Amino acid sequence: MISGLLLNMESIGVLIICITCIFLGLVVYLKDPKDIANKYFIGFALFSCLIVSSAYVSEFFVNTNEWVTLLLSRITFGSVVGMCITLYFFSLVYPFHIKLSRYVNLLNLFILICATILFIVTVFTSFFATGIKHTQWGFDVITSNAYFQIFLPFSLILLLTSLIIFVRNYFNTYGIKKLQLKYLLLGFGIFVLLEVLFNTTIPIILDNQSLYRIGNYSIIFFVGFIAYGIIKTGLFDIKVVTTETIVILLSLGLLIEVFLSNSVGEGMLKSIVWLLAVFGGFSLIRSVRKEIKQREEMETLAKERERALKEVDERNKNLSTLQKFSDIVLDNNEMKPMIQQIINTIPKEIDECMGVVVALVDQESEKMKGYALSETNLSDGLLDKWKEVVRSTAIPLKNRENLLMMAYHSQKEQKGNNLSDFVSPPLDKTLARELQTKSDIKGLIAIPLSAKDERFGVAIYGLKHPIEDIATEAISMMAAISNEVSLAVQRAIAYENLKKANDYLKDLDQMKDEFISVASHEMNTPLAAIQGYLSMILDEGMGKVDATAKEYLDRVYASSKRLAVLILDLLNVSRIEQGRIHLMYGEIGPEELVQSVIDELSVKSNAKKIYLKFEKPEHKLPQTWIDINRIREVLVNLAGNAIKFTEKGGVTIEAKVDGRSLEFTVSDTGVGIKQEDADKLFKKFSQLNREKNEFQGSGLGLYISKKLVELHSGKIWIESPPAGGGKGAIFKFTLPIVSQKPADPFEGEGAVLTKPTTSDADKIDVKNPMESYLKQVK
Amino acid sequence: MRPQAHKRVMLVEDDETLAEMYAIRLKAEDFDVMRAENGKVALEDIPRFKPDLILLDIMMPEMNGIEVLKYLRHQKETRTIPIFILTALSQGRDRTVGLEAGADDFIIKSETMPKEVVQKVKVALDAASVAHNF
Repeated sequence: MISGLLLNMESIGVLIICITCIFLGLVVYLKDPKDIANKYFIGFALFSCLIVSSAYVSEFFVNTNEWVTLLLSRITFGSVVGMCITLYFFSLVYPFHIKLSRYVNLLNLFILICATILFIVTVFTSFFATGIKHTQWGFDVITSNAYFQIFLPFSLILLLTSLIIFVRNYFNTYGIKKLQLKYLLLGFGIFVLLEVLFNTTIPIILDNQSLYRIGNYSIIFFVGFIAYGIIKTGLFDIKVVTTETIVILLSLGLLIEVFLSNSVGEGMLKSIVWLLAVFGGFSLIRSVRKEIKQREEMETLAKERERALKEVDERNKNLSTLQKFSDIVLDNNEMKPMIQQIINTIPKEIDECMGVVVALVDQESEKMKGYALSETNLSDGLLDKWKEVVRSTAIPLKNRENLLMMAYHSQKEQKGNNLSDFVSPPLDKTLARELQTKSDIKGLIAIPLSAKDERFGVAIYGLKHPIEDIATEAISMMAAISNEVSLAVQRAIAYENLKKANDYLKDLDQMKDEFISVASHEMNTPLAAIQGYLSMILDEGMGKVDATAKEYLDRVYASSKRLAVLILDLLNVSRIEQGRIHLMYGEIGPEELVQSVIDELSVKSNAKKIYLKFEKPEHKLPQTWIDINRIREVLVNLAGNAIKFTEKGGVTIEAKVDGRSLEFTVSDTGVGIKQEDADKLFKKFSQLNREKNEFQGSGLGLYISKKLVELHSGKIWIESPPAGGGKGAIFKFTLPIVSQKPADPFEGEGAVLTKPTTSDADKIDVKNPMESYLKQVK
Repeated sequence: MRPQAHKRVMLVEDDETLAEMYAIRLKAEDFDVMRAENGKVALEDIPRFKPDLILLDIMMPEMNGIEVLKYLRHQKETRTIPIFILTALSQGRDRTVGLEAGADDFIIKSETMPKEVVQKVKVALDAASVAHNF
């Protein structure tokens, strides 16, 4: 009963083995039918399956048909040869094709022929397996001596060689292949070992073949390890969907076994086996699935990471490229060298680009002119030709017949593969084609250069591949760079305009300076002659003049003195208006200053028989830094006016400290000033009385005084005159007390000391300064 | 004291009228006057004329007065000759620059009448001859 059961357990085993062997073989083969290793593998699997199944089936005919048993046994033996030979050839091609010399290849061919002969002889003759001997466990196969002399050695040597090759391969591989080989090696190794042991060695020792089955069934090790190798390491590159299929098939097979059982007991045993298989199978599936998912996730993550890194890399490269161009823009102020540098750098930064031509709009001639060309490493002759073409190209702006001008008018990129489409007309088509072919340009793109509303021109990029093949990233890069170029052009133009304006202003400034000096000099020179000669006549009595002439000449003299004052005042006003006055500071005590003024004007006051006095304060007044001459001028102006308008009484000058300033007061007992007139006084050319007076002013005195005081950061004003006037006028001004000499920003500047010669055509014409000045300023 | 030869005054002035005026006035006082219309001519003529005093206009074409002044002060022969600068401008700057460059006096043409000019010349020459004699 038990042996019967065992026998049926055996049937499960055989079934399993056969199914898995065939299935494994198929899976491997179908994975890549062309792979020779896979062919050998399926061969091996099939032969192994044949061994086991033929051995198993042979037992059923022991008692009924001995001849069939013998035949099946012979088939078993033959399959052994088949298995050995397929294993041998498999080892030669897995995991890598071992390169063999011609001789070894011939040897292999010989071996193959021998194996085939052996197979035929074994199966179809009784050369090796002569007969069947009945025994208590079934039977033994009676083998001839030839079996031991030819068959066994041949098979064993093949097996051993295969194993040796496998071991060598194992040590020659690395990484995952090594792992895969390990399983393969283990599988094969154990199987072969047990097979050999139980089919050859032990029978000889025990003198019976009862245990030979164990050798056959050890094929399960081989199958098991291979399957495991597939699952764990992707042996034979098989994806693990096979695990599920194997499990399903096995379960099905075992289920069939259950229904084929001869008794309930057997059925129950087989059911238990089936349950175990199913349970084991599914947990296997689950763990395998988890592992696969993990592996796939990691793979996806790795891919994502790689892609992200690549993107970042790409972006960094683009940024650094743009940075390079920004730096060029910032480094350069002049447009031509800057643009040249940019377009020289472009081909180095963008692989697809061979060179760039920049064309800019010339507003004056209303044409698009070639401006610059990348200095690439074309042959000299070719580069010169390009340069010539760029230099000589001038396309009228209204042209819309080529892609270059279309880019300009539409403000959109224009793409194409023919240079002639971009520049002809007006360029000659043949010339364009020639240039393109010689330079090996396959594609082109024209990108407009503009910023805000201004259209500067167009940049044409020559590309290594047809435009359709150029990556969008490269095109975006070129667009970005064109943008930079536009901004650069805008900036350079603005800079140049600014420079021109600045230079013009500087020239204008200098001209004004020169004008003042020259005008002053020119006007004073004839005046000096007038006054000089008059003085010689009138003061010194040189030359004879009668009384009438003398009287007239006196009037001339008076007028000339007035003219002198006028000229001086006019020039002063001119200087003040243009901010050309710069103060020359000196330290002085107010008393000294006032006193000197009084000394100067005493003559006049005495002549009018009025007093001119200084009312000193009790305390000593502090010294201060002022432009002594100019403040003196202010005092002279005020006191002089006071004297002019006073007939009786006199003029009083006072000075005192008021907080952080010095306050000067000039008061008189003259006619006074009406309230409504007071406001107009400090303006230019204001005069209250147009009396004929030898000391008649120019009308600018008070204006100049006001400006001079204000230049000192002081204030000047009229103290509210008494209502209706008549009681005199009071003028006041303050000056901040300055204890240290203020920094002179114009230290060292001298007057214009050289009279411009008439050969300096653009400068002031000394004979006619006014006219030439007006001409310049216009 | 030695009998005084006529003192020679070099007048460097580009304006004809003015130059004539000073010349008349100087000659009226027995001075020998030579006129140069600009700095270049002056530098050529001075070694030959050997003036006792130089009246030097500041604003002149080709070489301005200050340059001439500096040059003259550099030369041994002309280092000690009294030099007056003449200017039409009453700007303070001219005065300082001139005096610093080595002028002995500074005359504003439109303010100083010929009589005064000649007076200054006389004073300077008297002083110079006194110094010379010692």
